[in-house]
Amino acid sequence: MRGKWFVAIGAVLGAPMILGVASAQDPIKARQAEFKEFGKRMGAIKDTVIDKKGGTLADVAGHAEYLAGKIPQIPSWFPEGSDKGETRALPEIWLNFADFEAKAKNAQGLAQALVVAAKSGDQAATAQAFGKLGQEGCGGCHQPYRRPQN
Amino acid sequence: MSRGGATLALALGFFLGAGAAAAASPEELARGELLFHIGGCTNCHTAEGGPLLAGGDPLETPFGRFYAPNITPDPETGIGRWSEADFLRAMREGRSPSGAPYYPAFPYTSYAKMSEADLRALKAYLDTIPPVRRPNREHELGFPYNVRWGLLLWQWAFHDPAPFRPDPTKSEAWNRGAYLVLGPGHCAECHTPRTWYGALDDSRAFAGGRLGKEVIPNITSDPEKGIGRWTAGDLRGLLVIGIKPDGDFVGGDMAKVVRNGTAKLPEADREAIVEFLLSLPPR
Repeated sequence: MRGKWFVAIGAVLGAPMILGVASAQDPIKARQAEFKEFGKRMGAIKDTVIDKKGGTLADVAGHAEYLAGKIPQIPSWFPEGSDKGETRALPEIWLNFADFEAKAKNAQGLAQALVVAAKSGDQAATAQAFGKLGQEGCGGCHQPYRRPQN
Repeated sequence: MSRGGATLALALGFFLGAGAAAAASPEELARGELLFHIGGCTNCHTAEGGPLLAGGDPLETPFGRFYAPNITPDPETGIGRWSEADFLRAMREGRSPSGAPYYPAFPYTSYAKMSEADLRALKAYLDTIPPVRRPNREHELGFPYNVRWGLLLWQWAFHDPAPFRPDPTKSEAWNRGAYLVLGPGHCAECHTPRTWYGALDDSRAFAGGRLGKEVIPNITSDPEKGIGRWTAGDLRGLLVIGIKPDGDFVGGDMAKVVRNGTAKLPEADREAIVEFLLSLPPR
């Protein structure tokens, strides 16, 4: 009987703690983890498309689909005030939030174009679409809205 | 020979001479185009969305704001009246046709290392760019940098117009890479920090630093501060498409360097650059 009480109390006390951990999780850390995964995927695409060391165009399409699915969420990863802390996000994001959203939308389109190119099996078109996604998609925000690395 | 004959011969000679200077071979033009790309001319001399080489966006430096001039063959506002000798002098000595010294924001300090044949090929290629009439903007510089004659002193003290000399102990590819990086590519102009008097600090060659608002990375083989942990494949990815080992892409001016320059190089030249850069001593 007593054991059950402990379990019940544990559950009552524990649940908010778990929730607390998730919700208190810093939006900065959370989005950094997401972007790290983006970087890994982009690196994997590079290995296939530029270095030609493993992976197929089907894998490239898979990575690009992942990115196209995630990119529309980017603006939601930048709640107001989340330029405070260990982040390279610039306050300009919130001064031009409509532009920030438009840039995310543009990047999503470029990721989708990469999916199409990779599925077509055309190596050159895939490389080109990949470059465009990196330079204009990622670069679209990294240049105006991110503090340069020290 | 009669006087008429001499005049005819002279006229013919003049005509042939002019013809030979104007008509570059397709090979020479192709070489000129390659040098135009790796030379990054367009990065400074073309404004965003503006006509090719008709003058650029402001270049922010600690010394002030520079506006790269119109270098299309327009005779009034461009360099259409320049002779080949004028062009060689500008690229090697940093002097205008009238002898006025140029600011080293125009990287003649690197271009001087180019071979004469390459400089001629580049001029021939530039002659094929459509002329655009667009007056130049004055640079906006503070004292003492706005005192042009000070540049004569600067050039005398710091500009070495010696052409590139290959290192016979190194491979042909290494030397080709060194030539492209140190000469037309003028990589050191940003990647090597400057002293307070605006000369490149060779003791810190390619160690990076700050330039205006941009943070310039260290590209020596230092494993912590530089790119000592990069593979040839990593560097190739950067030069072809602008991707860094962490999957991020270069931005700002380097994005232009990649797009207009290193991405357009023949593979052998790019590999040569990779070989040379990975050999830079750590700093």
